[in-house]
Amino acid sequence: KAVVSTQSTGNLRMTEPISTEQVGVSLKEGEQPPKTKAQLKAERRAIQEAQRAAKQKLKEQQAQGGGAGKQKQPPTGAKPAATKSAAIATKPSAKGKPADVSKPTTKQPDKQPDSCGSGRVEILSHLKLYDRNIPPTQALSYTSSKIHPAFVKLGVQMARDIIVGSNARCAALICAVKTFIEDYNCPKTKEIRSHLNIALKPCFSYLAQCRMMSVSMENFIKHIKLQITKTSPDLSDNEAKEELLFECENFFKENIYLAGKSISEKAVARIVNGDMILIYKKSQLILHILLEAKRQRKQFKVMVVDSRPDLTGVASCERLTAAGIPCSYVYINSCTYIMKKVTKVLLASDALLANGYVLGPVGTAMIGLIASNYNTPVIVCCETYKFSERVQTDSILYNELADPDSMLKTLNADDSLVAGWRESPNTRLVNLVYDTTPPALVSIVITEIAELPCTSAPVVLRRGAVKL
Amino acid sequence: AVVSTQSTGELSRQLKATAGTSTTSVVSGCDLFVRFITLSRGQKGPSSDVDILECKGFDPVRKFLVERGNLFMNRLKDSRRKIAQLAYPFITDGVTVLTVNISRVVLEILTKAHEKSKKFNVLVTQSEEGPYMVNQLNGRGIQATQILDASIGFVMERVSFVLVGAVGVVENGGLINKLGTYPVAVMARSLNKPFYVAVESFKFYRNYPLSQLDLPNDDKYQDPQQKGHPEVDFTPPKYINKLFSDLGVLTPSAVSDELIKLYI
Repeated sequence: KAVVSTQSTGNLRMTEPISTEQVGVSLKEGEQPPKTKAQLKAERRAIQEAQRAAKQKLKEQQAQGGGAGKQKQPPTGAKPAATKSAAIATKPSAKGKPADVSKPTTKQPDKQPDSCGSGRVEILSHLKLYDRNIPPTQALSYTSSKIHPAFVKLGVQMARDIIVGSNARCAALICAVKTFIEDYNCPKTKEIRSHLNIALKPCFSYLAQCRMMSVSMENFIKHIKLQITKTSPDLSDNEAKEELLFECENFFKENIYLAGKSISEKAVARIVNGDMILIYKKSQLILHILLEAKRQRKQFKVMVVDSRPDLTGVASCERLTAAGIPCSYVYINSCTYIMKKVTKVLLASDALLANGYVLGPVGTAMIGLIASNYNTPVIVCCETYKFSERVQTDSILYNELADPDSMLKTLNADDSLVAGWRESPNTRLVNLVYDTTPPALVSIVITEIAELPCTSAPVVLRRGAVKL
Repeated sequence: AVVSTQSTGELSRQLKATAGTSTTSVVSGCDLFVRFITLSRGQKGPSSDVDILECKGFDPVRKFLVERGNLFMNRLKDSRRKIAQLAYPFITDGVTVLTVNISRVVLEILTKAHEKSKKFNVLVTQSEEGPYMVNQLNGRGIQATQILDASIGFVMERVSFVLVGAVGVVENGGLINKLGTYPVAVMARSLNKPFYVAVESFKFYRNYPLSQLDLPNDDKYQDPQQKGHPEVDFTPPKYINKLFSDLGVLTPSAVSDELIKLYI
């Protein structure tokens, strides 16, 4: 689902039938006949065209005044919302954009750079970029907030990258939901199975505002919402709450804890003595597998591939060497160089999509591609609760933007050459979180129920639906 | 449970021991047979309306198991005929079919096509039992030629498609077949010739090899000391276009679907 921007909310309003009451403002004033929808649209379009013409004139004047040079069209976010919210705005504005790009225009440098507005790449403009300077709790009032403190805390932890990793985030969400249910008191006039969902809704939307929800979290929310609506009305409130608490715990136990154990059993069976296993960054599940293999006295080496900006591979390396597993550490740039020595690639994933594509931390697809070039088997480990019904073939449609400023930190110095990137009209910094790996590059997906080829994801989804 | 898991394991072991070899087709067939006769929850007893799990005494259960067993055997015997029925339309007039070594399923398909008066010719690689296959085909009036394994590069441009049998089909749709199948598959892919596999569904095997070495050693070598050449090789699914089975005409990715239905 694309993030709803100010543009489309404007359009939404226009499609609603316009009643005489809405038109009535002009009627009372001037006793004009009620206008049809088409007439109103035409009027609005005329106003919009006039505004655009005036703006264009202003730009041309300034272009003549200042030095002319072919500059990029100002990014979408910088355009004021008013011009966009006119009816059928998409058609004229879409035509306007490519035409304008061809003309040489100077872009007015923004006096106060909007930290979210300028510096956006157009193709990714549908993705939300969170302003890191504003604390996530700013919008919350101190008293009478509908959001439980456990969720407030969780939101901040997610936004500040204190809790990372799909399993960890889901587990933290489960804890928060459990705390909520424990503290929840159903009003006397309402039933728990309808009211609890309503009570949880603002908490979940607050979380989504702090940081985009991972697929693991979304699937848990879907599950728990269903369980809430399924609670029997015959149960007392306390009994219903106990049942729901059990559901939460059971979800964690079955889908995260036991699934992890089952997957590591199957994955460890694939590790043989003399293997050189490549892992990417840090994943709780993969580390678990490797430590388990070591416990079973397998002789193998690990190649840890890491990438900026978060450099979580360092922590991976630390844990593996502490367990006595020989490790090498490289940046992703040298992936092609080391790949010929690698016998297996072991990857974790954030989600498995319905068309078999693997959603993983950005860089996974690159590793998959290089590995397939050397005919190295790529083993992806994914719990079934992370299977998503979403379908996408590229990494742009659904993704997350992380903090672009974190890319500025280099190993040598904090003072970076592109530190002033927000002021510069030609520089954009993009820090993507996920990427998708096509099924042709993945040899096998290990889940707790079976070892599957990537293309069997919809089979598991189908069976999951039947089980519920 | 009517039949405990220990006894099914024992039954499997005995079946495999009796068979004498432990090739994948025997292993998978035995596993499926045992599952078929035992996992019949909700099935009615032989001559009563009582659910089989609630029958008292072992005799009705024994009868039931035997009946299920017979049903399984009949399905098995019929599978080759079903496959021939599905596959023969793919053989049109004037085609040249390449096949590897011997396969009774392929023989049945080609015979059926011949009965329907299609004009085609067959090339059979020599391998171990190629001459036997050629004799069988010639005996049924089908024009068949023996070719050397080394000459598949030479003949591939004249071939319309490749049709082979199977010793086993694994979870990702990959093929385990007599030694020499993999090079033929790679050759066919390289020259864009379709590669078809004719396989009965009982040969769908719960294994997921990622390389030639991943195949269990028992399947590869007859000699326990593993001297000499392996019996079979593994063809990855990307070289296979279609599989003709008694469950229908499948793509390699559908095999996993079928296996999940059978086993999970």
